[in-house]
Amino acid sequence: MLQAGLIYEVYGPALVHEQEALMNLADLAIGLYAAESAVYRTYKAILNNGEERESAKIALTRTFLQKTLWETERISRVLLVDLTEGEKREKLMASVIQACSRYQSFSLVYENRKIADRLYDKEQYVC
Amino acid sequence: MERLKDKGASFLFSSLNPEALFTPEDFTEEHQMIGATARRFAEKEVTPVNERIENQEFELIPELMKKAGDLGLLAHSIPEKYGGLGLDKISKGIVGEMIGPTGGYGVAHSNHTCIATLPITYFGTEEQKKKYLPKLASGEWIGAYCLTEPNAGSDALSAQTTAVLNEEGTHYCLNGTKIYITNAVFSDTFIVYAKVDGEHFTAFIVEKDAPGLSLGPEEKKMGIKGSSTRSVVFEDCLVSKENLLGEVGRGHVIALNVLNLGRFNLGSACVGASKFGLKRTMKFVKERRQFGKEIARFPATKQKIAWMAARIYAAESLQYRTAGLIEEALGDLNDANDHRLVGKQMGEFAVECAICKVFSSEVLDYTADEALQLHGGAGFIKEYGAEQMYRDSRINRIFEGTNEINRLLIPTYLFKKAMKGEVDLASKTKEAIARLNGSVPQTEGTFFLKKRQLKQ
Ligand SMILES: Cc1cc2nc3c(=O)[nH]c(=O)nc-3n(C[C@H](O)[C@H](O)[C@H](O)COP(=O)(O)OP(=O)(O)OC[C@H]3O[C@@H](n4cnc5c(N)ncnc54)[C@H](O)[C@@H]3O)c2cc1C
Repeated sequence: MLQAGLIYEVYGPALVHEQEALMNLADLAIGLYAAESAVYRTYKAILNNGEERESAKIALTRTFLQKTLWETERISRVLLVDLTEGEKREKLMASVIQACSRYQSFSLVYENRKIADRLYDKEQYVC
Repeated sequence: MERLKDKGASFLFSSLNPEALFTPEDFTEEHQMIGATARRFAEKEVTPVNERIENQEFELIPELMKKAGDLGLLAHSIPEKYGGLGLDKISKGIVGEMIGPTGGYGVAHSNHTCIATLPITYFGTEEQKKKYLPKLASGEWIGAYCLTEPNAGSDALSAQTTAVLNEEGTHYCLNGTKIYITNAVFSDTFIVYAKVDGEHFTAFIVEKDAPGLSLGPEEKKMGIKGSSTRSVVFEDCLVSKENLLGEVGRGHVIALNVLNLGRFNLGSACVGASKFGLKRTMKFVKERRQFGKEIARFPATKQKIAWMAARIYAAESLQYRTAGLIEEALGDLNDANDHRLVGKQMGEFAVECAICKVFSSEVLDYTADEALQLHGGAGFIKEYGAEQMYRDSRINRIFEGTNEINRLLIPTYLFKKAMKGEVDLASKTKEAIARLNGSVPQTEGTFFLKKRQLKQ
């Protein structure tokens, strides 16, 4: 929403001509919808069955979130550079980096191997 | 729009109640049953004749469609009153997914049940529905959807095909050319968009033996070879006045809204194809040995498998979430005659449908690419199948609105809402900044915080 607001603020109704920004914004929205759909699906499954039985869903969700978060941070930073300057840019940039990196501090190397082993076992996509 | 709990694009600015979210874990027995039927059909009837389909033995497609029709796999979205099953949009998504792995056949099938049939289901008159829907539901007739023209692709509403009412006032006379029309060679009905008096964008139902309708030669394509693609030419083609679909000048409501459901369904098909590709790849990497062990055992392989699976999980989750939303918007409108309300409801989740199309088609492209790569040289060789998947996948980013056009639609929709005052962008922006700076307390567990971050 921050990025959407900024674009609106900077360009007003002429924003339809700013396709570079719109494409980036679209990717943020897509990432959000996808991540939210996965997270809430997993959460709902946990509410019903408990974490242990839903460990596959949790692992898949974490792996997806990790990728999406990096992408979100990358796009947000590009947009900030395109849309703001000076002190405002510095402040917002720091906030975005801080906010995103709070959740990038976990390693999934081991978890990803486990995801693959579980799928090999079933010989098809399962969750 | 008080009738809806959820509003279009609301995921951008409000939080979600997990209870209201539809997930594959919520499938009913009926959902499982139609899924099993569709899967069996794809595996037992279509896959065994894949090579003949790839060789463009086009007579096979109508035969297979007839079999699909007998099993109810064309009828899920058509009301019972007109020979259909009247099932929900979840079922539509499930059938779409199961048919997804069947390449060219799948495109023919989905094109028929979605964009070629839905215009009549939702915007037809009683007579039109009675005449066409039972035949389209059973597979006796096959449909095509004719929007694209040589000079009107992404800018579809700039169509140059014209329709003029004859002097007797009985028929419209159509002139123009449509290109890249799926199913053209075996279609009985064509949904055609033309401008009445060169001005008013309007939809028509044209039957294949209408005088003045002819087909161009078969296009030579990169993939989905089993689906026919031809131009459809109208030269003083006479179409009875009764075959006007909807209202004169309101064809765009049909064309664009039907595409919303088409895009959702395309996403479902991509999820099905991705799962199939992953399965085939796992089988391969478990058999193929290099450096003294199965290539499946290499950590780099495992990481690729995990990344494919994680993306598929997200795609599957957002597809069925969207299915739930569309069902909520349209569930009770299967046989509605208030076409304006239908149009409005179909358009409500345009953003979500665009995301289904873009995200799932790109997951499929990613999966197809990695599947081929993990096959090594065999991936490049026809008999292993990865090559066909790779070629077939590519079209999904192009048709039903290119992914660029669909991307542009997403923020534009939000800004339109803001301009209409339906969303208070300024205060939402302030709120986002406050959250970013941590001045809004976050009390949920870490699993949730991750999602929060994305929302900002
Ligand atoms: C196999 C196949 C089957 C098809 N089946 C059907 C069918 O059954 N019925 C039917 O009606 N059509 C069908 N189509 C047509 C298809 O929907 C169009 O090809 C598609 O919508 C793109 O239009 P175009 O080819 O004219 O590309 P163009 O519109 O010329 O686009 C070319 C490039 O420019 C980009 N572009 C265009 N406008 C903009 C813009 N405003 N901003 C930024 N970028 C832009 C596009 O994203 C694309 O990358 C089919 C096509 C194929 C290949």
